[in-house]
Amino acid sequence: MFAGSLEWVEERLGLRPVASRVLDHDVPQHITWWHCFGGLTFFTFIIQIATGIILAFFYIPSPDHAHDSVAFLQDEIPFGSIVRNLHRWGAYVMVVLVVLHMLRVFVQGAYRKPREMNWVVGVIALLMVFGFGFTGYLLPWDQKAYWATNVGINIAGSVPFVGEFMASFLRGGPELGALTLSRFFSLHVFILPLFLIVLLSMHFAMIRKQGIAEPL
Amino acid sequence: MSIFGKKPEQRTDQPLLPGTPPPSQGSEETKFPYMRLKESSLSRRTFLMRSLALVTGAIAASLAALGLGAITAPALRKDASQWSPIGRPGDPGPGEPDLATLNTPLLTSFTKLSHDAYMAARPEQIPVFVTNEGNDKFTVFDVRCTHLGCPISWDDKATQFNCPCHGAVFSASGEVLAGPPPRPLNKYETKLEDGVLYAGQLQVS
Repeated sequence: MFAGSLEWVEERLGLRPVASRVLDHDVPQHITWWHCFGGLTFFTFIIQIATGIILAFFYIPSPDHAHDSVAFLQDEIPFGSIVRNLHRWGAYVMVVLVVLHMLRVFVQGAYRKPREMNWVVGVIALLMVFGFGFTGYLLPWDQKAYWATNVGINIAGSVPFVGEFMASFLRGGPELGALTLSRFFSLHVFILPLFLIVLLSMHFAMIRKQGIAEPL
Repeated sequence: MSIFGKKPEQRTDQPLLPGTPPPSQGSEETKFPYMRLKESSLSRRTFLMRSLALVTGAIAASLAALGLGAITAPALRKDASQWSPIGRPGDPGPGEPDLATLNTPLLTSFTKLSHDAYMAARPEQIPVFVTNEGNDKFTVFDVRCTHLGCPISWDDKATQFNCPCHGAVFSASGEVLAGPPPRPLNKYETKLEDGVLYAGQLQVS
């Protein structure tokens, strides 16, 4: 029934060359399994986006409702605990994979000229991944989330000169509370994804342009 | 050779050492007769591409199923059917009228706990008219007129319910006697258990 649909679209839009330009490209012979970690990190990022959107259907970033809404999703909604735990474990796995990816690039010296800029973009993206972890950890608003964030913000506060202001900025004031939760939510759901998507686009465009580094 | 792999292999169509005869020329099939994939017109490349598409599709489908299941489930939730006590016929509390000896509809109210997903249950006062039908049978009328929802009142002399807004009149059994209402008065489910009269879900007549 739909057998001719692809051809029908192809005849009108001619997308096949575009798809083949994006997906079809030669990789050098020296590639190893260690080269998979960047792509795997991107794969977990997509899982995080998909599960995060589902979580946003239920989550309320308010001190009164955050914990109850998470518990409701976890206990009352079919598949709720699977979706939430995919997001949670996906976050851990993403950090592990991105660190392995970075180690491979470091040990192989793949950051050398002409790929220094891609290394810098990658390191900023790594910090964004840590930012995701830090902000996301607070959102369930339980004891562990609250005190872990307290510790994290105190670490930021120990930076000389600007630390005091940074801690205050993260908290949204002198106390860790309603404003902290809403700004962590905003960072986690709007700011960080936007920036990470832009950075990853640059990361991928550069690797495509420059090719995979030759082995040592 | 690094721990991460090998350098690009020497091309085998070049003599490896001076004097070595070049490797035999010929098509892939004559060199590797066991690789007969071409006969079924499924190349290694196409096979891998389809496998990749299959795995990707399976992952996407599982995620979509989980997500759609989770966001569709709340649509199927039912208003938690629960019973709220109205009174104890024949054994009223201090200062309360005895429902068992009522001979006119009594304006009273019961406390219903309304549930809203993860929000704390909220008590809500529901005003009702309770009518004693005899033999431990009670009717619990919703006080809202079925026309536009104004609260009705009981007229003892005419033994009827009157609505103040548009002059609607209901009989003691809730039937429309006059005015614009399209339906008889709405009633609550009732049950009598261990001497307690309970109201359940609102039955729209």
